[in-house]
Amino acid sequence: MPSFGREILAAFSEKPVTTPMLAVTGGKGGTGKTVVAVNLAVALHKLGYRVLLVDADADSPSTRQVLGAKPWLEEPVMAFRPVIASEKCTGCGLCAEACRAHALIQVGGKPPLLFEHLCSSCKACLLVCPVDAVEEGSRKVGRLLLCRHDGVTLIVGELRPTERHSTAVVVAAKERAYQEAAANTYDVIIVDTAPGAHCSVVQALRGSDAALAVTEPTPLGAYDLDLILKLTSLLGIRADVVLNKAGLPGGRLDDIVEIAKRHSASMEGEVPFDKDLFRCYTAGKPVVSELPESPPAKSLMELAKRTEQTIARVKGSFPSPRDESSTE
Amino acid sequence: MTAVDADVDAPNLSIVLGSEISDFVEVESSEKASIDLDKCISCGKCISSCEPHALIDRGDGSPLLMPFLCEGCGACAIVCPVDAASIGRVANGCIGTSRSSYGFPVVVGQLQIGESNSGELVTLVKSRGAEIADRDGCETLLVDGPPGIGCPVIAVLTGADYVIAVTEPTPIAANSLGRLLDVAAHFGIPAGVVINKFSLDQEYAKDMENWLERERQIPVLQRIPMDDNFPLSLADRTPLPVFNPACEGAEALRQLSTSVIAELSRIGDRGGS
Repeated sequence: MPSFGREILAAFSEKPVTTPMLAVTGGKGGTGKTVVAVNLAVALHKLGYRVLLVDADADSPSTRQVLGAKPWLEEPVMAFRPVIASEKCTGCGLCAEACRAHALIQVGGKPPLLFEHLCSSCKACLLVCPVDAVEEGSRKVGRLLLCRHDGVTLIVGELRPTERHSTAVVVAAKERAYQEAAANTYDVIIVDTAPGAHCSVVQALRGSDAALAVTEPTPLGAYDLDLILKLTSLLGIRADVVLNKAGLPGGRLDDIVEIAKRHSASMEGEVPFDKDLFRCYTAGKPVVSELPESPPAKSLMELAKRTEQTIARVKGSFPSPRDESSTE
Repeated sequence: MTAVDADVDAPNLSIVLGSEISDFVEVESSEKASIDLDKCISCGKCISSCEPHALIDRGDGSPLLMPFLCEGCGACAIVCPVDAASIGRVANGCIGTSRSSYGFPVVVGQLQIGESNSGELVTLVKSRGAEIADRDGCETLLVDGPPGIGCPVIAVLTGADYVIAVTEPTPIAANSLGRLLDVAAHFGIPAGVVINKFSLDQEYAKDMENWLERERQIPVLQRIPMDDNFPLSLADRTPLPVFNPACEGAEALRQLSTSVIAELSRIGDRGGS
């Protein structure tokens, strides 16, 4: 496995605001990443924290539905696309040659054709054109939804179906979150990432001070957890483990604990496999507000209390939470 | 049939099948920048041209490359006035093959952790699968794709004759399903839906079925009930129809295979291919 120098990791951990940022990440297919992220956000609000939640799972964002929030503002995410000024184009072909995504195809000495769905918006064509025949156009690749609900501010990045560049939407959602965190005071930013260990997850983890890896007690959960903890350690991010669906039939807790131990990650919480949790999930009501006395709500509140320590560790001296926000 | 695991950043198919893959071979399906700091004149042009912000100012105008953010677009190499930036192919994953204990070949792609260009790797894994299918005279290539709708999913869908979309009876899953069906429709690929964990919420599952039928004209291929045998079979690394052939879940999966075969022959007749 490669490893990166301290300089690179320091640059990767930088963000333009000082607010502690915690990523909630995890394996494929319903391990409970979003349920944990949303309930953690609401639970921290109950403990008096001002919480900014970011849904950076641009392919399948569901934080808004789990929180039960309606957007009050929608902003488009635009990306560059080349517009070829055919009167200027000399047909030299340099742009098509520079386009590594093969979105520009040149036939004969004619101006190139754009296959927009392949364009990654890198602007190589614009930079290479000797006669300024490539002009700056734009296209909508997704949207940001801004919501406020249950005391939590939420920014959702949503990829437009048929577009493929999820990372562009993740970057836009993170930048919008930094803008929001600079304009209003927050005690913590929680980022819900896409599942897996690919580039969109890496962009979502960028700047995070710590991460929670959500898993389930199955061989798939164990395999994915190992991958994700390898990723966070590669990126120099301290990650701890939340076990969801604890008590699943045939579940093997030992394997999960063993993997966590191997990566020096602590077991931060266990959320039981529970019907109440599922009911709240489908109804779009966070279980910590809806059924605060239920076993999953209690375990998620416990997780929030442990997370307070993580936030304090990150911040060094964390400002004391407001008292008034704990009562509504 | 040949099975392909194209969920390259977390491939799980061989875990479910209980097969081991030993012949992983590294592949170079990605490109990345490299900067020669001996030539660099610290003009900063590459840094401002880098759209994914993979190049960071070291403080003196010279760039620091964060390799895991580089998409290999080559913008830095274009703007560099002294040829200090260049783009080269790099290994970003590996591909392995095996024969499952059930007799069919399995091809697995594994992205190197945190690497980009998973779409390119997906395309490579699929073509490796197609080669093996040809060699062995397989009629069908069954490709397990990643969740979502982005780059690797589109790479999985490209060239597919049919999409089996797996969902759950929840509003959240329905929303993601709608987005996936939009993408499949955009590429003109016929699709059918499997409602997994049907018994979690039968009422909502029926609402979903009505919605699929009326709004989308998409068939529901199979309802699969919640069955404790699923996690048990997973823990045993044995597919459910073998682990416990008599259970409800196994019966649903057998019915699903019949529906899929029927759909494939239906679209085959229609398309004449």
